[in-house]
Amino acid sequence: MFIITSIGRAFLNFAAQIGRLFIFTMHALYACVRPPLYIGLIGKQIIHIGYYSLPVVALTSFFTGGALAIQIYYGGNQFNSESIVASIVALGITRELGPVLAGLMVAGRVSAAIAAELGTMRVTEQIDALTTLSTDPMKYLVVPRLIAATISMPILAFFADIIGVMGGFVVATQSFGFNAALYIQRTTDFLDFDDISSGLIKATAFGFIIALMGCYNGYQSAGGAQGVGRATTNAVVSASILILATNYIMTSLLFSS
Amino acid sequence: MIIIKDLHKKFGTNAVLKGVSLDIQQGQSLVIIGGSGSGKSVLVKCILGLEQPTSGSITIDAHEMIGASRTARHKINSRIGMLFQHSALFDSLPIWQNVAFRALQTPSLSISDAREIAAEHLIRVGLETSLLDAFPNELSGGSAKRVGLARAIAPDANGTPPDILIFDEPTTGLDALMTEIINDLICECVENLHATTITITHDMRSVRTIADKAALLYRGGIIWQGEQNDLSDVTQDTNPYLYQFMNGLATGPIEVVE
Repeated sequence: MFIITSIGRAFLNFAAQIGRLFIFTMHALYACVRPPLYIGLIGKQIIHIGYYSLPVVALTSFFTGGALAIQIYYGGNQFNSESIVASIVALGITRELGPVLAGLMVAGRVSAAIAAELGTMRVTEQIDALTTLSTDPMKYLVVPRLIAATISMPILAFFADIIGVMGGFVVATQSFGFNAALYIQRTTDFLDFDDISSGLIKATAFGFIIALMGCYNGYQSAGGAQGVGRATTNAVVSASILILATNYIMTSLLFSS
Repeated sequence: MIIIKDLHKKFGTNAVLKGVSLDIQQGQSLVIIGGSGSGKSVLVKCILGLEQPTSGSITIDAHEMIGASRTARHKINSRIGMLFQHSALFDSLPIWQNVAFRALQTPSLSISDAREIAAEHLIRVGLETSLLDAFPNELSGGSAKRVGLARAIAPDANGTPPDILIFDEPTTGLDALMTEIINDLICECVENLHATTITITHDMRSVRTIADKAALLYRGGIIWQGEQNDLSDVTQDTNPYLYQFMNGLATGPIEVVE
C-alpha cells in the first residue's frame, strides 16, 4: 500500500510540476508579445548570455573538433579511409556536436546563473518589490532573458561550428600531415547549407529551453539559500535533459524529411 | 480609503487569516501589531495583490481589489509605496536607479532627471548624494532602510508621489537610535505626502510614534483595534492580550507560535 501511495504521490507531483511549467511558459510567451519591451535589458542579457559564453563555447568546440579528428583518423585508418576526416568532422560538428555542446555548456553557465539570480530575488522579496513598483516581473526579468538566450544561442552555435571545424583542421594538418588546402576543399565540398541551418534551428530551441528552465526554477524558488541552491541544480539538470531530448526529437524531424 | 472585510487566507489546510476586517480612512495611519506568525505579512501581501485571498473583500477608494484586472491592479499599485522588512533593494542596480525606479519606468525620462529625483529623495531621508552610484551591498542596515523608504515615497515620472504607504516591520534589526530615526522619517514622510499608511510592526515604540490607530492581530484575527490614545488605558483586566503584548510579558493569554 505504501509503495502505491508513494508512486501515486510522485506521479501527482510530476503532473503538477508539468502543469506549473506549462502555465509559466504560456505567461512568459504572452508577456513577450505584450508591450512594453525592455530593449535595453534584452541587449544587456545578450552580452551576459551570448558574449560572455563565447570563450567557454569556443574552447569546448575547438577541443571536441580536435578529438573528433583523431578518432575519425584512427578509425578510418583501419579501412584506408583517412580522407574522410574533413567531411565527417564538418558534418558531426555542424549537425550535432556544435549546437548540442554549446547548448550544454551554456545551460551549465547561464541556466544556473539565471536560476540563482531570480531565486535570490525571490527569497529577498525583490520580485515582490517589482510588482509593488507597478512593474511586471515576467516582463522585466523573464522576457529579456528568454529573448536574449533565443537570439544568442544560434550565434554561439555558429561560432562553435567554425571553431570546431578549425579544431579538426589544426589536428589533421599538424598531427597527421593533411594538406591544408585539400582539407578545406573537402570540408566545403561535403557541407550543405542544410547541415548548418539544422544545427542553428536546434540551437535556437536550446536557447529558449536554457532561459526558460533558469527563469522557471529561479522564479518558483522558496526556502532561503537552500531553496536557491535547489533551484540552480534543477535548472541545470532539467535544461540539460531537455536539450538532449529536444535534440533527438528535432534531429528525427529534420532529417527524416 | 481602504476597507478590508472578512478576509480569509488559507495555505492548503493552514488558515493564516480568519476573517480580518479593518478600515483605514484617507490620510490615517494604521499600525498593525502582532507577534511572529500572526499573519501580518500575509495581510499586507493580500492588500498588495501578491497573495490571492481565499475569500473576503479589499476595496481601495471603492475599487474592489480581489479579482481585479491586471490594469486595475497596476493602476492601484502605482499609488502604493512599499517599504519591505529587509528593504528588498534591487542589488543589481545602483542606489539612484533603485530610488528612481518608479520614475524610470517612463522611457522618456532622462537620466539626469531620474538622478535628480533620486538625489532629492536621498536628502529627504537624511542620506548623502555621494551614495547615488553605490550599490545596495555597500550600505549598512540603517542606510538600506532609508534608501528603501526613499524608493517607497519617490514619485513617478509625472512627479506624482504614492498616496498609500505600506511599511512592513520598518525597524526590525535596527538599533534603538536608528529605530527612532526611521520612525521619525516615516512620520515626516506621511505628514508631507498626506498619505494613507499601514505599518506592520511588533515594536511598541513605533506604534506610539507612527499610529493614529492601531490593531492587534492574533492567530489570523483582529482581536483589538482602537485609537492610539486608547493604548494608555489598557490594563490586564480590560484587555489581557493587548496588555501582554504591549508589555512584552512571557506569560498571558497569547501563546507564542513556534
